[in-house]
Amino acid sequence: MIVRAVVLTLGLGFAWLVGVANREESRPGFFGLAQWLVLFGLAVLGGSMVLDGELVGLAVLTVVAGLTFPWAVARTWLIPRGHWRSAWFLVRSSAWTWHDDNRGGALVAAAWAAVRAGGPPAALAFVERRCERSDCGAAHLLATGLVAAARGDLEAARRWIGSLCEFTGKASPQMARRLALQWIAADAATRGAWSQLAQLDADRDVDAATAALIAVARRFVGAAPIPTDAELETAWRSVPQRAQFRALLDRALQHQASPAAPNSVVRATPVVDRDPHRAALVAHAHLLSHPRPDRVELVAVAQAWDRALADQAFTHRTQRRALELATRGDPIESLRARLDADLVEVARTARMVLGEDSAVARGTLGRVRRTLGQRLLDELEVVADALKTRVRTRRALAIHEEWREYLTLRGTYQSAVAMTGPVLQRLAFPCVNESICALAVWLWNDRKNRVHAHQMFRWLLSEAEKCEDAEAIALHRRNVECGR
Amino acid sequence: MNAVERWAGNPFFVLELAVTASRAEVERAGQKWLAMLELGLARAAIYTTPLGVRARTPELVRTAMAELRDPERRAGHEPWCLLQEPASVIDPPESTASEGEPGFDAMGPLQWSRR
Repeated sequence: MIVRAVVLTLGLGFAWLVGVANREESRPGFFGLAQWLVLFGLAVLGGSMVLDGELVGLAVLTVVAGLTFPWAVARTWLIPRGHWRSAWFLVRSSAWTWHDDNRGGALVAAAWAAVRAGGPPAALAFVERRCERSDCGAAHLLATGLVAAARGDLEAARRWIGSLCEFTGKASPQMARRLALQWIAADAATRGAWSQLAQLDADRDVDAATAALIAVARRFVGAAPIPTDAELETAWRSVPQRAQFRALLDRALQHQASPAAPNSVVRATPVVDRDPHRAALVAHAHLLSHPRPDRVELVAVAQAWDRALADQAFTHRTQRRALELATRGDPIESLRARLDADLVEVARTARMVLGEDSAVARGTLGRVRRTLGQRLLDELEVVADALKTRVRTRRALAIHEEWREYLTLRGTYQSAVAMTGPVLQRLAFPCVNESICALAVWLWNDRKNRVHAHQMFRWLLSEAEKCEDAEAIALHRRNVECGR
Repeated sequence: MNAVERWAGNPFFVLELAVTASRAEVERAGQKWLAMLELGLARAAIYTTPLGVRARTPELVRTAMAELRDPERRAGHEPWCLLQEPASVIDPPESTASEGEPGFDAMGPLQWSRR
């Protein structure tokens, strides 16, 4: 009896260890087959024990089933109930679903279970400690994002998890990408960001739930191809949790789909008032009072101030008053400065897309655009210089912290480009390129974090192509080729 | 100080004075509000701006008096105090923005949120 118990325990332990050792690009790999062979033997043994009337055989069969389908068991039982330790332990030996990175898969399972459990500090610390190891694959980005989500920092979670969706090929475990896409889609649907959701491409890793959410989003925003009622029903039927999505499906079916209007130049609505100064103040007050001001309102305010500043009665009155007060400066210039400061602040806070338009280079809007562009560029240079200096002095951070630095700089650059336009992009790219390239080269050559470095080179190449920077394109093509 | 605080803290609003107020009127109004605040009168506790009602404090009153004593700074505040009423009572400019479809909690059914 004791001998049999020892053999069974050793056999199960061996099967787990063989699963742990598995890291194959294709499945089933050598270790996966070896694991199944051992588990098959144990299952036969457990079955014979059950047939002999020994109840221990049932326990053996249960453990064998758990080790044979670790992800299915973790996903169905352990993760929803928040059992993060068991989920991590079981998925660590996954040789099928996480065949390409079960170390990362186990971290994802633990982080996901931690989210379900309400973010216990021990679980979050456990995941973070393991993410700091230098041999982490791309799946740790999902785990780190889930830890951020468990802490309530959804903005950071979106950045981390969104960055994983950009990985292609064998650089990222397939399941990690599938889950990341699902999380991004669910988050966008919860926020009502349907346009963003509709833009998710038909990815090879999209699962049924994500595909259904994308179809609904396409219907809501009228993005081509707009799904028909039958297509929506079909997409909904393939979702395992379809009962809980019924209300969303009904809303989508009731929605009258119409093709989205092409991008058009939005004309601001002028505020009508006999006194242009008063009209400008009214528009300005509405802009500042608005919880979510948009570009149209800001343009309206800028135009209202242009009318006020072009009104001779107002400017004469202001200048006369300045003479009465015996001031030295130009009152109109100081009014412009204050006005520009207000509008730049509103545009930055609301992350407004002001764009670049040489036709309106003059006037309040033109000044606001220039000031905003200059400030964004200055801030970008500060962030890029900090990264470059750290890389030069070889002060290494844990790989997930390095990735965070990369995402921060990239996010600052993308936000600046989105708010302004291609002119700023061409000015900003060289400084971003220098810093990120230095980091990626360091990661590749010295620290052997090739998955992350390759992804950085890919992003730099795509930006270099947008900026038509021939030198950078040639350099990053070579760098990307090294990682293939 | 941000744009909202800058405008809401306009000394003419804090002291409830017209743009034509003389230096003596500024001093009288400042002393009046300080005395009323010291007595804890409810009337003195708040003031109206185009961005809504704000709390009046002795520090704010003293700062407002100092701002209006300096002609350079006073000239900077004057163009911003033409509106006395809150902007919310004025018809807002027409907006073309639409809110779109509200969100749907997909995190719960897909088990991405706390159980």
